[in-house]
Amino acid sequence: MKSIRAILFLVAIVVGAILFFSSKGDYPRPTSAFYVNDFADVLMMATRSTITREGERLYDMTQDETDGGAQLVFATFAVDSSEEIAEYDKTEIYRQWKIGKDDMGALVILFFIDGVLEETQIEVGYRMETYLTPTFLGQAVDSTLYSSEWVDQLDMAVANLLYVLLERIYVDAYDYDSFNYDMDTYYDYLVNYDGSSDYDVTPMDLIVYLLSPFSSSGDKWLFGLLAAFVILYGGGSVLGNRGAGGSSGGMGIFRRRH
Amino acid sequence: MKKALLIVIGVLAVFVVVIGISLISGYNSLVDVDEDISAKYAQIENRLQERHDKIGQIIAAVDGLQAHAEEIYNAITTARQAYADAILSGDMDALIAADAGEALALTQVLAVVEDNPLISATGGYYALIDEISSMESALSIARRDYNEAVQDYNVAVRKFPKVLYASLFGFEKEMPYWKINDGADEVPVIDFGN
Repeated sequence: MKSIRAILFLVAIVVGAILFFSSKGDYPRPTSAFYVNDFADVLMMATRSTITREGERLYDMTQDETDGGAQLVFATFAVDSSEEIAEYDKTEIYRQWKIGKDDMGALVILFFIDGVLEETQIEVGYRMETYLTPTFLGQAVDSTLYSSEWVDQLDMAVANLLYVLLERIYVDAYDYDSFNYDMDTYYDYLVNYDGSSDYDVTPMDLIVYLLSPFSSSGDKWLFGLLAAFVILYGGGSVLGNRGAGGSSGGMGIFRRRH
Repeated sequence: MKKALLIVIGVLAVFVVVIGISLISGYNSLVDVDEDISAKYAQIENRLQERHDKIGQIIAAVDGLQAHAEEIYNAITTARQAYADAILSGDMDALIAADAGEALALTQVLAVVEDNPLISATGGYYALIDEISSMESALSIARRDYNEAVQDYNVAVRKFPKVLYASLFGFEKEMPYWKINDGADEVPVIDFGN
């Protein structure tokens, strides 16, 4: 029994070391939900769920289309100053996260200073450039994130931007007849959201079982290894959603608060 | 005696195989980095062509800018002509100069726009800024990707044993960088005020 523990311990050390040293880049890895990466912790659970659900749906619905497998990813970062924003390279983040199959993707990055949206950047995959042009993106951001309609209603503004981008992608890139959404309906959904999410649920039953005397040492070690693997490797690359291998070339927009 | 001969032949055979594999893999890796440079150079050309095509559309699309056409006409025309000549000649230095010239012309367009509040007040102003900043961002990434590919190549052909393979197979000893901050051909940095 002691030798098994020793072997498991050694395996854990080796796997952990490999994963730690194999991780590269200065940017955080995408979350396991992939489509929403709320590192600034500013979005409501309902909005996170919506972005993830719509992102999965877009990817699934377009999988079999020509230039299919589109991915629309949102990320938020908390920064101390506008100078710090310059340290972020949206193209590099896009490439590291490998968004969109066949370069059909878009990355929306929101920078917050003291919880206030300071700057929006959008990076578009090579093939998506035809549909999400800079002029369109600028208008989309101005009419949603910086719209007077959604002052102090960040979640409504973000959801509005999500739907505007989705409409463009479905209709223009994949020839759908229409993409319908209603912000009043979304508002009702937002205020009535019960707080639970399909994407952020902690498997309490499993944790209770592992902490109980009923679980074996093997179970505990196995779960520990898996948890270390997920934490060190970012999870998103192993479990849940992940990037479809896309790349981008710097097209997109930068928009500061007016 | 016969056994010793077999051992010598065996060692020589292994040596030849190792050398052969090394030559093949060395040659292939040099081809990879060389092709990477070609692909990245083509990407810069694509981006330059996009910018070249869009300049005219942007000028025409922004309300009020036409009134100042005389002021910016020469800069734009000269830059576009230099670009067309560079494409025809296939000369990389000329293309770099044309890249800088068009960037300079765009800064002049922006200066005219910013000096005229009536222009900047229109919706077209923000579209202009978005289009130009996006193009410049894409061009800067394309230049960076190209220079990184050139750096990979130049480092590879100077290292042993690839320095031998490069000479043996006739690869260039050094590829030129896209000069971004190199004096006369420097590409101006466009300030979008954001």
